[in-house]
Amino acid sequence: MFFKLVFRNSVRSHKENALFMGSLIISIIAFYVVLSLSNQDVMRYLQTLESEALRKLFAMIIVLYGFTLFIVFALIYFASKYQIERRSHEFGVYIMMGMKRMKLFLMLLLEDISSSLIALLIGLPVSVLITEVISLLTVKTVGIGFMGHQTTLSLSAALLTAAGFTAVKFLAFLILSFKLARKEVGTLLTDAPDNVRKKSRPVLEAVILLLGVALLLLAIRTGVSGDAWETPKTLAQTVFGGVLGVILLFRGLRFLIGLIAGHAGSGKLQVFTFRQVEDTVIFKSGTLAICALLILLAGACLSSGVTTFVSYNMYDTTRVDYTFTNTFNGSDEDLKEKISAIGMADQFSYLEELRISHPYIMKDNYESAFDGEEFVKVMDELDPRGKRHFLNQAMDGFPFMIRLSDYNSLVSAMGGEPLELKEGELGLYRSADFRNEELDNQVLERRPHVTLAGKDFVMTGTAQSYPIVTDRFITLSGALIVPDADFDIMADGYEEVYLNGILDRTKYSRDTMVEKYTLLNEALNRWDLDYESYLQNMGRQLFYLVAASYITIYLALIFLVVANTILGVQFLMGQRRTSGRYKTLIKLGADHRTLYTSSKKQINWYFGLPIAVAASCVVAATRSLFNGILSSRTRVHIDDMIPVVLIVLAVFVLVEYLYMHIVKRSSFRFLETLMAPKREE
Amino acid sequence: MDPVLRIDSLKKYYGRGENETRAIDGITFQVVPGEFLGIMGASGSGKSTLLNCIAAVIRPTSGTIEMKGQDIGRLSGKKLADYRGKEMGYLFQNFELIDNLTGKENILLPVSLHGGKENAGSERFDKLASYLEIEDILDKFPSQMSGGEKQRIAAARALILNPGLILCDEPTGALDSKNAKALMSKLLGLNQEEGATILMVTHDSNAASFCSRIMFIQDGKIFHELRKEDGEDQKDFYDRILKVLAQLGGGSSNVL
Repeated sequence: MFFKLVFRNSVRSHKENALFMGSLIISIIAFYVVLSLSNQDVMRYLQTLESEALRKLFAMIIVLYGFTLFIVFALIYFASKYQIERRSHEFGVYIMMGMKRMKLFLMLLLEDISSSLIALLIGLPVSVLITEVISLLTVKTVGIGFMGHQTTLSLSAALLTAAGFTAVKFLAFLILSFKLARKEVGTLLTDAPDNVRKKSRPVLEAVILLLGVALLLLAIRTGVSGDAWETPKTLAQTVFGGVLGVILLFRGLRFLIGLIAGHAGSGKLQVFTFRQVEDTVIFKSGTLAICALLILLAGACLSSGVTTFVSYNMYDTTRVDYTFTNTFNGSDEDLKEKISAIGMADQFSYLEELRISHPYIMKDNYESAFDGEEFVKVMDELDPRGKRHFLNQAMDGFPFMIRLSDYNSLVSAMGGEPLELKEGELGLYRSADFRNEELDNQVLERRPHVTLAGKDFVMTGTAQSYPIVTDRFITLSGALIVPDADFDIMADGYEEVYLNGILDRTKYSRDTMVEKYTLLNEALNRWDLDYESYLQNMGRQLFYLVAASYITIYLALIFLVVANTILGVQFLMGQRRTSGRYKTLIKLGADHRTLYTSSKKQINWYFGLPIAVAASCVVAATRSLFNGILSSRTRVHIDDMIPVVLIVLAVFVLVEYLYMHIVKRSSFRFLETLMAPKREE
Repeated sequence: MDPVLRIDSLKKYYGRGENETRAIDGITFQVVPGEFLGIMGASGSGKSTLLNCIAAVIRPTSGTIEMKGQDIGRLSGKKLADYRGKEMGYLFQNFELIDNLTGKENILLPVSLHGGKENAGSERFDKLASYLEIEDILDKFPSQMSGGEKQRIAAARALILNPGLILCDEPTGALDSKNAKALMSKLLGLNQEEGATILMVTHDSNAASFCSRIMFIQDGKIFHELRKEDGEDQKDFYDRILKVLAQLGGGSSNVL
């Protein structure tokens, strides 16, 4: 009998809470996908290139998992709370009939376990399937198909998912049943009274609304301009201002809804519909604000994740495929000859040296080797706020010098425009990661006078930032490009020589590139050669790409699921709680269609309000994320970003539409049960 | 005069076989325009089932209910909803006001439901508001009203579309005696001055004494009928009601 009751209750609650159940399953899938990340083919591949970074990423994923577990806990807690509140009368009756509290607890526990089991039994197999598909897709996109596919199935990820999920569910259950146990039977039996509406104070509400909008706009402005990221304080201010703005906006929204309700058209139940919406705004403004923020976060994460993925160009055409050096082993042998000797020279369409040095001729007085005072002065004039002041540092004292003809030959081989310098002129080199091209070029246009090793020069041309080695043999934040004659004198015989090789691109297609690198590396490893290949560089970029896009998309999914589930569950529970209103409407002769229309409109507003607020901020938030967090490697032009954001928005609209559709269906089904004639008395 | 409501051999059975309960077991009666009919009976006598059948909330097992010549058993969908809203006004024991609508909005709800324009300034609205003395509470929410005020708002809502028949289900059930009396006076006034036809189910003999005719129901059948004589005092009618009730509830035939 007892188990029959448990079984019936479970079946009933699964029917009633299909939405909640679905969200739990999606959370399980997200958990598993992110936890089994290390088993993905692309990660196994990266393990060979970037094992240290991966170790950090996996450590971070556990933290991330903990964080999302907390969010899912909040979701489970609130959704279950509404359900238990709704069933409190039922529990009261059980106790009145003599059921011991312990037995009631056991009954609820069994119901809870059964729902967790069902969620896991559906969620885990689906997630295994999904990770498999994701793994195959990324391998194809990245072009490492030669690795061979290995199944992504991860027992530890499955166990960790199940453990985390069960733990948060059980914790929520314990807290709620503890609360339930402390309630008196009488309290359980009486339904909770409805919230009493406070009198509307239009002026105050309007002021709150305006204040909220103003704060939000201010936060958007500082976020987009990049000012928000200057110091932790400004960042905290912006975030706080934005969050407060959204909360106030929803607080004050009653004013707007009140206005609309006052001018509601003559459609059936228009007044009732808007009063319902108004109720939401009055009693649930906090929840709406939180959901709007979650949706906004989801949108920003999703669009930056997708933009990172889409805009990422692993096969930059202006790249150096190999760099050889003997700087580090100190030998004097001719690298180019050695490459030829081992029969590798014919792999390259370009194989030339690049020389870098310091003005060693001044080594006894190195602090005054370079005087760039005028350069710095011009830069300060053009950028009085000094936001990019770090740019000046590269110009101090004892700068790096790049030999002009070496640089130009490399640039030409990569298909770039060589830098032309006359006698008495210097060029400026900046690393792609640390540059403000526009500002540099403005300074160079003014042709500032500088002194290098006692000789006067003007700096001119455009700022250069082509890669000068494959990867990390040398990273220059800034350097001077010096004409050959001057360079040879000033270097005073001390040079670092890098032999750059570019593979014959006509021989390999894009898809076989990674394989080609791998094979060549294997061949080169047999010789005593100090070299780096583009594979490392690519590995790192691939790592950034995979890490950034996985994490952002994962977070986006969790935020989206949580926000929509809270909205959906709350709406449906609210509708059940106020079922008396609908019953009255039915008695007054409201037909199916009228009630459905009203319910549909309410759902549209209920979801629409937070979505609208989130959507109007999402572009700004995404831009701000790009400004602040994502590395300049992935920084993209705003023009490239807009279409991606639009596509993401379209996906969003689809997801929201689906959620709203599900909620509407459940709502209709509930109204249907109200319409069915019942025996009273 | 053609009756507003004609009920013929109405039966409503619940359950089957041994479990069969005959909530209404062959009731026949008519209500003529301008009549104020009361239905009395003990709990479980079938009076609420009868009211629900008339309100088309539940379908009878057999028999017909004709409203102005139309068989409501054949109505469905929009026509049924229209019947509920336009042909009938419904006054409930627990008022059934919607708690997040103001008094005015509650009263205008039937207008909104049945296609009319929600025009608060209409003549009928003003007349009802002033007659029922609710002008001052129109902008209040139900939680800010007393029981009597709520029921008067509910009465205005039941009357706003000028329905052919007003069904009252224990309208005084949740009111104190003073408010109950005030409400019944208003209903009587509407019946006498406007010619509103009222069918009221009640336990309350006091409330029933305002009626012009009373049917007593027991075990799903009409057990007795009282008619207020021309010129009969309300007090005398009340005494007669009590006598019938005594028979009904305490009659020797019912002693087991």
